Amino acid sequence: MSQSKSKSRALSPEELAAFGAELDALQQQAIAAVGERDARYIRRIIRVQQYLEFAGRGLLFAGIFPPAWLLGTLLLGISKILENMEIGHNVMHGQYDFMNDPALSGASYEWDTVGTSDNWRESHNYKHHTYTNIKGVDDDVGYGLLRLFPEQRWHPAFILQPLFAALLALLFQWGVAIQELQLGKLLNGRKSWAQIRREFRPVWRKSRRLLLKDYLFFPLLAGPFFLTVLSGNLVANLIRNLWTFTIIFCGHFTTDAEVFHRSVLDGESRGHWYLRQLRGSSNLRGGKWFHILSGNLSHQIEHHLFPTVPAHRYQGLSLDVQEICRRYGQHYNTGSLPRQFGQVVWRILRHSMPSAPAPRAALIAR
Amino acid sequence: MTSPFLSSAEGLIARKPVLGGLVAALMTEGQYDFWSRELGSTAAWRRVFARVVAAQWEAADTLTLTLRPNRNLGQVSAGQHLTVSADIAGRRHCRSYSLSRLASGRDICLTVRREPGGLVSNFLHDHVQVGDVLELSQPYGDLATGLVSDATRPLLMLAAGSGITAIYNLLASMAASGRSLQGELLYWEKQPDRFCFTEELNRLQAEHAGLRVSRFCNATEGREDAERGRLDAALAARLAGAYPAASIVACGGGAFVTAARELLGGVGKEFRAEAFTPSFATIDDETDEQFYELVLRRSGKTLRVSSRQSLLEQIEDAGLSPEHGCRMGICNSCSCQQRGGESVNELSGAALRGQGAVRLCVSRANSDLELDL
Ligand code: FES
Repeated sequence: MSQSKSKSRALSPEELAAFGAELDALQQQAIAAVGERDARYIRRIIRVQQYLEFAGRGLLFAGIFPPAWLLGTLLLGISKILENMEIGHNVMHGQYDFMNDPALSGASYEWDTVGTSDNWRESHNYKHHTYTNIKGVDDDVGYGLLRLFPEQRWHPAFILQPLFAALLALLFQWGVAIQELQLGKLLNGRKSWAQIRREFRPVWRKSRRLLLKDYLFFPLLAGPFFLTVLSGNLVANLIRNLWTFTIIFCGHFTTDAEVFHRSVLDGESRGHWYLRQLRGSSNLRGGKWFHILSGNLSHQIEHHLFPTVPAHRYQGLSLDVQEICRRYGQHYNTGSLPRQFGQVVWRILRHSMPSAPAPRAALIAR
Repeated sequence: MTSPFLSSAEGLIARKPVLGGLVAALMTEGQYDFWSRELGSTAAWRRVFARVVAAQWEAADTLTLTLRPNRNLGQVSAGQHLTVSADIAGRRHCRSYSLSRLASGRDICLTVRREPGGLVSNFLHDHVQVGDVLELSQPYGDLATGLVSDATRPLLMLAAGSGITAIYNLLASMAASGRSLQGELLYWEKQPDRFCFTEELNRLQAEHAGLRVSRFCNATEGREDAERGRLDAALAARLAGAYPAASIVACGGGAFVTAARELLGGVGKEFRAEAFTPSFATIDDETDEQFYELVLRRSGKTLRVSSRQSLLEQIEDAGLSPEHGCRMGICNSCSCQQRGGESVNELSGAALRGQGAVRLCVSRANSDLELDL
């Protein structure tokens, strides 16, 4: 038996089936309970977000007065975070499809960041959620840019990775926007320039609109305060980029988050899939507003187990999930934001240098 | 209350592209619609919202709502229907209703009968008040095409129950356009207190010498102005003899319309019918396999599907390739709009009736089904 660094034990095939059945049942229960409360919740969040944006943009018009600029920028940043995470991300998972409101339909919602929703639905909803943390299949493992696991091949360029990571954090929405283009494939000739140009068109169309909105039209409306509005918008976008980067990296790249080899997919059962979601994800502890501002992705584990359940229910579900994990000897990876983020930073630093993979943790006991 | 600011903003949008373009540069459709509603207006970017401006009893359990739609509603014409969406316990439910009375200006009237167990009709009766806002679809249906313009032929109109709504709308709008009405209206109700538009129909009959209105009611406690009897071969023979060249229009429940088509389909110059009761299968035992008809609206195909297999697989087997990703109900890629019928989500066990989003990979048909695909 090779010894693994996993804190979870391997499950026998029978246990795995029972584990899957328990999570299935939990999911069914959660979905059956969805209704009025969830509709009220998301409508309230949308109202808060709209008012925050209105207030933020309004204050920025008075931004020549420094406290107004600061507060306006902060409110606008928070509203962008809410729209991005608790509304956009969760709506696009179809969590609110049950409402039948065309404005909240997962298949057509267009969020307010430069990445197109269609690309996101492909790279995130489909690839990342189906193939979570499988090296070479899930692009979110390092976003084609970073080496976060020793299983990824090292190259001298990775020495500069802390710098890349910092840039990615600052420009995160742009990283997401071009993720689905897979520019890396240009280098090894698996994609042509023509193809990239074609795929870039919708991304460009969308990002141009948002660039014009934040950096030309709204500043123009402010007349003489053009620059205060422009700078406020710029900083609000940076705030959102840093925040989403932080939350998202804490979701899968903490010390105990595991990466998987393609071979796990061979005849993968439902229970096995759940197990992989659990072991590849990590949570963040925090208060109510912290959860809301992270789009409840502070419960990344529950989100990965039940991506279609309205996210504000994850906190409640997490008690059941933890209890199931205890019974099956599975590590429930959670911690405070500073702790988890510290681990992420360490991963970025550590694996910029050559590192050797530990033996792979078995998911199933043979 | 309509906000003056937004009704003028709405006017600006209508006069696209310059100012509408500017608004579009600064806000999204969702935001525009949100703020419009927040400020008490029904204006919207594209969607049709309408304010209830009056409610009037028509007969027992039958209510007419007068609605003032925003500018996004297209031209409506006699005999058409609209889908009304109402938020009930967090979910939007849609049902279709026919135009009924003629309203002034751009207002429209819909007449809604309370159905036992009917979610939307009960909601409209019990919870909707003057001042509330409902969402409407664009009008659809072409029951009247040709009828209205061809004034030479007599009309033979058969209405059962709520079927009277569309028929009354047709008659009223023809009369309003100055046409003299020729022919006969036969109108069935199960209970005498359910007859609608009584005064109005009597007036039409008085004003149009060529129009006859016959009411039928088989309840023991009848009504003086109603005869007894169903639509049967004898009645059909009388009608065929009296109106050999009529345009026939039948409206009512599925069984009524089927009977009308059988008895009168070959009579007269043309036959139009509209049935309003959908035939839902009840959720049946997993073990017996059922076959249903699946209509794919966009690709214009009709497939026969089994209740045992996912919709995605069966649509693929038919040679189409709908969007999909995980094939296990998590990514939402395969989500598409269901327009009618009933499907069941295998993951949650939840049934979806009528309109809503379905995940094809984990759903199966539970009745004849219509998808936007
Ligand atoms: S294909 Fe992923 S939800 Fe249906």
